[in-house]
Amino acid sequence: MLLKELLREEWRMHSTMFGNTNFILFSLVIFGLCALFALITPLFISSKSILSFSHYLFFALGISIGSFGLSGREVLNKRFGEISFIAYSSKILPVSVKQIFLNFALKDLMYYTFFFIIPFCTAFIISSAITTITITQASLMFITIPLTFFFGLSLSFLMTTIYSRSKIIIQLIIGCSIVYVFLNLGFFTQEIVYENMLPPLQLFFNPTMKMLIVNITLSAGLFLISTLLFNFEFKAKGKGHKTLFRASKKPSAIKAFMLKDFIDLHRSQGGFGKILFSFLIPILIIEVMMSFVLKIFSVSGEGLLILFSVIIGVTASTIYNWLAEFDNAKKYLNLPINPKKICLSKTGLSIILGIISGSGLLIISFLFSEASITSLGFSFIIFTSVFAITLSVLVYLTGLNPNTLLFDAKTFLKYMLTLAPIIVFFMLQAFSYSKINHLFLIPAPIILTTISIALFKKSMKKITIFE
Amino acid sequence: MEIIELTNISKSYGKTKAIKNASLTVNKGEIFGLVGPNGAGKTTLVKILTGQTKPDKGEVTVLKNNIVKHPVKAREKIGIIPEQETPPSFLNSEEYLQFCAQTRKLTNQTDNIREWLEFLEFKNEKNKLSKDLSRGTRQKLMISQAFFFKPEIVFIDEPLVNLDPLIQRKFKKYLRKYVKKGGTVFLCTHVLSMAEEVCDTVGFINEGNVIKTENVKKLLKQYKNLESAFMRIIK
Ligand SMILES: Nc1ncnc2c1ncn2[C@@H]1O[C@H](COP(=O)(O)OP(=O)(O)OP(=O)(O)O)[C@@H](O)[C@H]1O
Ligand SMILES: [Mg+2]
Repeated sequence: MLLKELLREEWRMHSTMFGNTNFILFSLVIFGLCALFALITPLFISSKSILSFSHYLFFALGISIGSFGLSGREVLNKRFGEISFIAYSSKILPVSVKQIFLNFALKDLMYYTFFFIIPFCTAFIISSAITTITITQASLMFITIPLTFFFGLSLSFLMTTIYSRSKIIIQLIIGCSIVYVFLNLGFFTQEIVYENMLPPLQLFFNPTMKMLIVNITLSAGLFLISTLLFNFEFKAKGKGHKTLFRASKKPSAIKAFMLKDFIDLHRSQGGFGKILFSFLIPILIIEVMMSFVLKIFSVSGEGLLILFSVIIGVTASTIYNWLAEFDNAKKYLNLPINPKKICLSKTGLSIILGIISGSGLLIISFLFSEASITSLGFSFIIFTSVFAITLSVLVYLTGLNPNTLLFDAKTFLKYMLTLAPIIVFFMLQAFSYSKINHLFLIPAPIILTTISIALFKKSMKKITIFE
Repeated sequence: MEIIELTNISKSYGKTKAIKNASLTVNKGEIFGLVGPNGAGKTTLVKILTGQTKPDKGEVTVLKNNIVKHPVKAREKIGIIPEQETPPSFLNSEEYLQFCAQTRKLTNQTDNIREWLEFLEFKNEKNKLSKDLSRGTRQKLMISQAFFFKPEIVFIDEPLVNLDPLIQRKFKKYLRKYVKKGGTVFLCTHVLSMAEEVCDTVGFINEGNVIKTENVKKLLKQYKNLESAFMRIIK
């Protein structure tokens, strides 16, 4: 009953924001993009690789979404946004917070199933008519893809829940796993190994009843354990927080805002773990998979690194989403601040944090990819320019509200259509890296960065001063 | 000297006409109280006066600045205590005040800030995050951010609701002192006893119309108290 109310509330929220049709349209856009993916990729890559890759993709998505274990009760207020009213009613209504939370998680699962998984699988069913993928395989995906997503979500939920209690344990586990995978990369990219590493994928290749039950129990078990460990209470730090803001001799609104945003990110539950779980780890998983899937193309190490730098560049812009999440320009109407400056400082801080974390990721990727050291510099340039263009497109299209406005079908479509050619361009470059003249790649980052700056200036003009 | 001038302002939210062709002026050095029932348009009017909302038509001049044209610039010399006191959540109180100082491009405010933490008696909570403060303390923080830099005008929307009587008295006394030194206060309230006690002039607003502005002393000669004046005028 509660679940129904939550879903209805979410629907109302989105449909009042974008209109009913737009809301449906959003899943059509996703469907279109997936259909392209399902139609085109089997032309180049064996169906088996594509299917495995798809599973890992949703595993990574699950990991990224499941990081809500980081933020305790805050999650009910922040991640689920405006509907937090219902969460608050837990204080008045005879329902426990846990119950509400479980319903939220379930709602999320349904939400992603409806908007991402169903369009994705449907696209595969339809494309199976002309590709090498069989209709049985495509139909099986309707079971295994949601399971994969749920598995990633539960695993990440467990990790982040433990993380919010003890950072060290999880940091050690993650650090060790990265080193371990890195040292045994040859082993992990064997077909037989990666197929068996992800239980739902195992189910996909060997569909038995037993395996299905194992899968469901495993994910549900992980999820239940996390719920038991989950911190439902806000714990205010007893002695308070040391003042990090110092008087400045040269005060500037932008500097003040950047410091404030940094503190917000740091002090909100989960802190920088958000960047770790929603950005770094999922990308690493996708990278390991890609290096396997692309083996058959004999893509050079350099080409692979270029591809990675593009992926990192595109996804690094999620940091802007995190920074915008805590904030609302309306909170500063008592101060002489132009909202443009708020946007400018958020973009600035995103660039700083994005470049730092993205570079770290790039270096790990470099170690994975066996590329030459010169190509590292090169891919750094590509990463920054792709990051710049993604961020500026995001800011241009959504301003200070990336978390809500990107779910508008039209906006999302524009976002994808702008970025797609850029991604495709670099993909083609990556595939033919050893064959072409490298100098050919040089103008692209320069052009991209120039466009980003121009676009950013334009987006500043779109931001209005009045509420 | 007129420090706030509002001429023929109208503002609608969709079909709701929040302000209907309102005009008023406020002089330097006075406490002006805007009183009116719930939904009368008090908050909307303050938002227009402080450049938070754009009026559909009319002119607003505050401190000789055209607010509609330069909304942000005018706020540099203005303190504002909004109706819903929502300081950014993850800064502690002291940080929030420093943050305000820096966004206002002011230097050497540390002493002023300390003074306010002491004056409103929440110094020992300066390290608590704003979101963890009690509502009253949050209001103290918002009062401090509006006054610490000695602004020329302060706009206050429902100033005292969450404060205890001792702090209320202290603050009311401070307001008198502040206007004596040349400051100006524009406050909205429906607590009439408070308006009667501290205001020099009151304006009555109902359903978006500014019905009447009058000197409080004059009103009290005519009516028993502000409450009976309110009942007569708003009807
Ligand atoms: N953002 C908004 N959107 C739509 N209507 C609004 C908005 N803000 C105010 N209104 C409407 O404008 C009218 C005046 O509201 P306002 O908040 O100015 O009243 P008020 O006098 O401050 O009331 P209160 O004493 O309850 O604070 C009301 O009818 C209100 O519903
Ligand atoms: Mg009001």
